[in-house]
Amino acid sequence: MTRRGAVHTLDAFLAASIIAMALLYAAQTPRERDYIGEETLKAEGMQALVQLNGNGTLGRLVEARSWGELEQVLRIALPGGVSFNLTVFDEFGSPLNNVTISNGGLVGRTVESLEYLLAVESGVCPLYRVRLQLGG
Amino acid sequence: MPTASIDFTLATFTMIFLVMGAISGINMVAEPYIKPVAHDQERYGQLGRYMLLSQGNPADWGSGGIPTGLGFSSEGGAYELDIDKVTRLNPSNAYAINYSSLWQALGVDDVSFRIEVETLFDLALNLTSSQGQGNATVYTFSALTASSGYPVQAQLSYYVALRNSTYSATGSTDRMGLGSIQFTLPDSQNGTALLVSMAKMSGSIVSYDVLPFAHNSGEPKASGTYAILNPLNHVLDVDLQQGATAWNAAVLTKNYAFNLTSNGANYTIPHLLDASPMIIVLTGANSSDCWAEWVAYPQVPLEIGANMSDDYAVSDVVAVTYVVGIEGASYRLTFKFRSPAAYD
Repeated sequence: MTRRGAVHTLDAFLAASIIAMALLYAAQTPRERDYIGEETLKAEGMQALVQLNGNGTLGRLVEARSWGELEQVLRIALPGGVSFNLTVFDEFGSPLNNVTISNGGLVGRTVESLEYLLAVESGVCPLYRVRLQLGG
Repeated sequence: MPTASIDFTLATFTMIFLVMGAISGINMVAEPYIKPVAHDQERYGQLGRYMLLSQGNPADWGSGGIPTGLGFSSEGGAYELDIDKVTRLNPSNAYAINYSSLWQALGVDDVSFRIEVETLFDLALNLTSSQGQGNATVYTFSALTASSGYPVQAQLSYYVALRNSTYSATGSTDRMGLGSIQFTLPDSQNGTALLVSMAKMSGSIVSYDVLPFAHNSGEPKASGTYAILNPLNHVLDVDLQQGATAWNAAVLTKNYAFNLTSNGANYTIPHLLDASPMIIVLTGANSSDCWAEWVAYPQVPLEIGANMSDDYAVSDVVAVTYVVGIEGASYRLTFKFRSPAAYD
């Protein structure tokens, strides 16, 4: 190998390493933008359930098995454009609602699910698990 | 070391720094335009929660004064708002706080915001017909309850306030959200009357509407012509206009209706356990008219804050909605946020 050939090889290595470093740096920099913030749908759904439970509406409707009224309440409480599907489970994990509590199925680019533990004031103080799926 | 090697090394490092500098510079310049809204949404969500879960400073700023820290919570549970703090957001209230003061109290310089509070569903009243029957007139009204165009079935309480009298009735709307009610008013009385209705959908979900109508008199004048009503701190401040004289003040809720006690020029508003907004009705007369004025307490619906309706701003606005409680009744509160500094 001549001296000129060795220098060209070195050139090639250096050029390759510069490009590789630049690509690595470029790949690292946008990574901080991939931060996934708060899931808005989940936050809105949870806040609505907290408020409905806070004034006793949610517990009263679940305890009375008023699934139709519960659907109406959710239609009003959740923002327009959000689709939902709600299932109520008892303490043993069996679904309680015998009808679909939904405003027409989950529709939207994003679908999220949250669970809410509901304690109802009554003689036996039953516990329910409320699963709310949201699309928007 | 030969000169060529030094040149080569310097050129190499220069190239590395130039490439990295260019990438970094472009990234810094482009960052505000390409970052996802998730950053803003979380930040705005936290700002909204902060305002709803804190009482502000001083904690009792709803009863008077300018707050130095912004928060609307009452001493109740989470997302339970103070009736007076919300009422002071309504620009038509004489004790309202302007947006500039609210913005300073929030203390976040690069964020502008707008606050909207409304009932969770709408109730609309209309006068369908009126018919003379002997020495009385029968009025038929229709009611429509809906949420974003979706019909809502509700139980309704109706009241008609005319001069010193209050007539009441109950009714409901069907699955299509439609209902109707009739009132018979004696022709011996005349003047502007108010039809007040409260609709309860379930538990704390309540809405209301008020419809002024003429009974043997000229068309009702615009609200505030004869008296401006400012409820705050459970006192109704009455500002009479055009030499008007007040006759009677009554408070109407979903389940109760009773007259208020006069305290000089003002009236004391009682604390009620009924999960319902209060509609306060004041009737009176001047030289030519028998009038009726009204105000809601809390004074909602309301909107206050920066104008975010222009084409330039609307695409940058992030809206965050909450279901909140005020004195037992539920309302929808929407914050609209944007950060003009990031774009201007």
